[in-house]
Amino acid sequence: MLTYIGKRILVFLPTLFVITLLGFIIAINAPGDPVEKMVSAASSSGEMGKQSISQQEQKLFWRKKLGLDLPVFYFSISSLASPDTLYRVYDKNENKALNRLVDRYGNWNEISNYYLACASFYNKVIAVSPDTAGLSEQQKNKLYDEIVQLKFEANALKSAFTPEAIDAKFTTIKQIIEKNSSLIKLQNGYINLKESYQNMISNASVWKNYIPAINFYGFKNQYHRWLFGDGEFSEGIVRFDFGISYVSKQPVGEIIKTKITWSLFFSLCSVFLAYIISIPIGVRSAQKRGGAFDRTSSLIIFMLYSLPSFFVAFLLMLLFANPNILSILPSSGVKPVEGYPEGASLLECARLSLPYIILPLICYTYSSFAFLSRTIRGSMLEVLEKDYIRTARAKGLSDNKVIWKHAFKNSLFPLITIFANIFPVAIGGSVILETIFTIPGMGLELYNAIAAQNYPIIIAVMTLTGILTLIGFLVSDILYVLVDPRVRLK
Amino acid sequence: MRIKYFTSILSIATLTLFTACGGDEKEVKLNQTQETIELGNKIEKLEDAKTFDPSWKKENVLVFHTLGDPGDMHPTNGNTAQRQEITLYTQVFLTNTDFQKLDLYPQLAASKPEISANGLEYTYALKDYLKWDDGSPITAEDVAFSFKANVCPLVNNPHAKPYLESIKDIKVVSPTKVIFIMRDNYIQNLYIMTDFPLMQRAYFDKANLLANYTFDQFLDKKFVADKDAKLKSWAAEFNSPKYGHNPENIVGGGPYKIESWEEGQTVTLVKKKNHWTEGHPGLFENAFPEKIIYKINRDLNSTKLEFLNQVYDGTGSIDIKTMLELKDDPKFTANYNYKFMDTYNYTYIGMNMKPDGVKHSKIFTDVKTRKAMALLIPYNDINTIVNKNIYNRIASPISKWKDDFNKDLKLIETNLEEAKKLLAEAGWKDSDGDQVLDKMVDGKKLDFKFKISYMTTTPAWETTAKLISEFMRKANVVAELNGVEFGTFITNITTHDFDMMISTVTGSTGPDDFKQLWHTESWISNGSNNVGFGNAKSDALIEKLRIAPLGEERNKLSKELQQMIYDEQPCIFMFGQKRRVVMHKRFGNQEYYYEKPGILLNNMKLISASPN
Repeated sequence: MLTYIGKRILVFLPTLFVITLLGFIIAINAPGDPVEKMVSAASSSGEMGKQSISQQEQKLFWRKKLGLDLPVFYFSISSLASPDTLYRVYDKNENKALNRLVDRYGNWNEISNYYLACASFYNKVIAVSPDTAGLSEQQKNKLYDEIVQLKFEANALKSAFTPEAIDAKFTTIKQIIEKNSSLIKLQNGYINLKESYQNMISNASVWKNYIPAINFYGFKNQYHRWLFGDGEFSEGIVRFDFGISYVSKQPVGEIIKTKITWSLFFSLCSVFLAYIISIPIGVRSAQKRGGAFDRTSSLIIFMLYSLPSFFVAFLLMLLFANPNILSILPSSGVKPVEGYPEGASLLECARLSLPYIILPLICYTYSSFAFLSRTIRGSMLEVLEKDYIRTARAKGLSDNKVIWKHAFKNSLFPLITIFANIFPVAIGGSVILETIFTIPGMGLELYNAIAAQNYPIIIAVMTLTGILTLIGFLVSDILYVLVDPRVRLK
Repeated sequence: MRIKYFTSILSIATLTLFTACGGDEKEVKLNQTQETIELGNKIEKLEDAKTFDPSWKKENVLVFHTLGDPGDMHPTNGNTAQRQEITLYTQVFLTNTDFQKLDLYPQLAASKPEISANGLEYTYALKDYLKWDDGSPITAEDVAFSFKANVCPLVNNPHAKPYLESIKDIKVVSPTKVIFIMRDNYIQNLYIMTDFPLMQRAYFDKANLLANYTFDQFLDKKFVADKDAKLKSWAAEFNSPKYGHNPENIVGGGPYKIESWEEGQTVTLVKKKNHWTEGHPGLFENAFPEKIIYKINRDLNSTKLEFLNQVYDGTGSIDIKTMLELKDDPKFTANYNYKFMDTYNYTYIGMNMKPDGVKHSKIFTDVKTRKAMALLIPYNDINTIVNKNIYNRIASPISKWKDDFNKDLKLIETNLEEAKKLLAEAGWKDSDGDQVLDKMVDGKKLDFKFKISYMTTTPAWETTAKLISEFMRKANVVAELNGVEFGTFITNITTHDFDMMISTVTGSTGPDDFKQLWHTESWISNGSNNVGFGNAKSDALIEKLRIAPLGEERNKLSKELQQMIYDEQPCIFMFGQKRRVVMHKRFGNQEYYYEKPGILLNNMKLISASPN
């Protein structure tokens, strides 16, 4: 058995690697930019041409701190056309535009020149200070408006990638420059820009997109940093450092530690209750198959199963927390508002929390009855048909002994399989019930993390869920052996 | 037979359960009327309850309902609405917002600052009796440290730094005198201070390291802060999560401190003993409740039940539907006062005035079309169905409570015929008989079809969009619904990737800086001018408004800008939002404000439980 356990643990590693890699890739490719979110909470004051210096610096600083200035993985598989340094273009819109241009034209050198020409032209445009001497107020205003439009087009050109959009902007830019003699100094810049664009089109090498290329980045990449840390801002998950939350900037480990307690508590309690209620029901249903108990219990259990948990939660609150009906249980929280008294023992705390736990625990548990009790019933029915059960009855053993000593043990396999799935569910919690009953668990935390694109928490939870799933399967394998000595682990 | 009998019992039980939800019809006698004493229309004050009902709790502990956790209570790095609210009681500021007068409230400052002739130096004389918890006085050195820490590049507050770029330097003249030297004249120079709590230099920077750096240095691109080992070490300690999450490390000069914080559950503030505020009462200095407990609850049904059970003493974050249900329940009105308070926030519909013509058609480029759109909004239906007739219509982005509000701007009412007329004048007609207007734009036939974008996280906006779409169809205009997730919505509107969108703006008491929302620079740089409003005249006006001091001249300029915006109709201003504020009658001295959070909990006085 120990050898088997050792082998299984070794198999964990590549499986975890794949799980974390998938989670990492999904998180990285999700829309939105966490740094933009962090920095833009103050939002732009509209200082054009220069984002405020501190905003620029802040973005660069946070990209470095979070490792977002690095390539994603040790290598990337792209095409010959795609450069290995595109990850350094941090603006997502510009990055996307460059990617699209590479797909369309395939000649990175020319595309890069075009992009630099756009940036250069934009800088010239925002620095332009036309001579307005001799112009009337109306003419000055008109010129001002034209320059505003010109600046907008020049800025937008950096994120444009379809020929129609680019042509439309070039047309507008050309018209504005030609219409205003005071903007003639921009003519050369525009011509250079147009030339670089024509160059890009005429020297297109689309065939390069069909030739794969592998770009190697070595150990300086986000995934490696995430795994092993960078020695400065992060220790890496091998040292159990999942990074910091983008929202609260707290270590992810701390957040999970505080939130997982109640999720685990409710998951484990609900499993325990579900088992101790469902097993006798399932066994008795199998024993008295087709009888009144079997039919009645099935009806009730399936009715409960059909009710969504949020609806049951609502009904229970209306019944037990409503001053117009019964007001005997609270409807939110896990402890009294004032908290536990100072120095209160564990028993005292449990007693104070008990009223708060009852309603959510019912909601967590009831939906499992149907599945568990029917599984047990089906498994028991199969076992009760066996010859050894007939023999046991023929030997004169009591019904209870036959059921619980012989039949039940042999019908445990499906239950053990279900039990293995508890582990990953324990960490996930239930978003709906945690929101309704204000339970500070992982479900709501995970939901908030997904909504806020808080990748460190998402990836940490995926990783832990993966680990727990693997542990769950291992535990169930060991339990199979303990329950049935005929089972051999290989 | 047995099953039929059992099923009948079950059905009756279920029916009973549902019908029992109607509530107790027995009338509850009110023990006071809700009389309002208006104080200059800037606040609303209610009379105290005449008697203390036996069912009311006698503890001087105020339990306040809130929707979310403060997240991070760090004095510089936190950035949530709940954190801002709690800091009103746990921190001190150089100046704060006077909720009663909608003006500045000098807190550490003895009065409003003396402003130099060139408008760049702000001299604050400080009160000498404010103290930190260790008994040491709050001085000008703490003021300078507080702002410098905020500006330090290694401090984790990227959201706040842009607001402080206007500070060139802070000079400590004496322990009770400090001069802020600003980079330029800017109307918000006075109001920046209200957002930054003061920190004790001796607690956060024992070695006084930051005194060796200047503001210019911190803002200099060439200054490589993370190569400075000492600064890096200081910042690592300063940024430590303990200063934002551990109650014993969350310190401040206010009359309350955080006693405990159960994340996702409650935040408990306890009144400090022998605090300097005891001898100096004031709007933010009073500390009548012994404890203030913020209890988090996002579920509407649970919140309603907890109010009926008198678990909460108040809230400023209850939704409209729940509020309306509660106010019809005698069990609620017997125990609570409530108010729908005007706010500075409003909802609007933005139209892309300058689309590229490729990804987004040039539909809203002319003013007649935009004005027609304003006439095609079913305001009454939206207010009835979505807002339950609670919100007020608006015609301007400036709140009616501000001195520069332009009251001459008339509300735009729904008018289908007038809208059709304007659209015809703008060149729209149904040339091909497909029940959709069209016109020739840049040589191509353009159908009047567009997408109306809204955030899917706000269900009310989906309903609003549907109502708008249905009504516009009567004018042969097709508005397709385009619900998008929050992050995508923000990205789309800032990059002008939309036709029409529904959004909201939050405001505050201080004078508005119109640059963010209305200057062309903000449009060009993908700032908050999503719609593309602006020209030379409006930009010039905005630049003047940025430096115009408060007064008649500024009001005149602001009204002129509001008129320009009204005439151009880049946005359809819909409704000014109202905050729903509730407070238990067992607390007296109730004042309701327009500025968030709508009520100040430190001023709530438990009325006497003894019989008269």
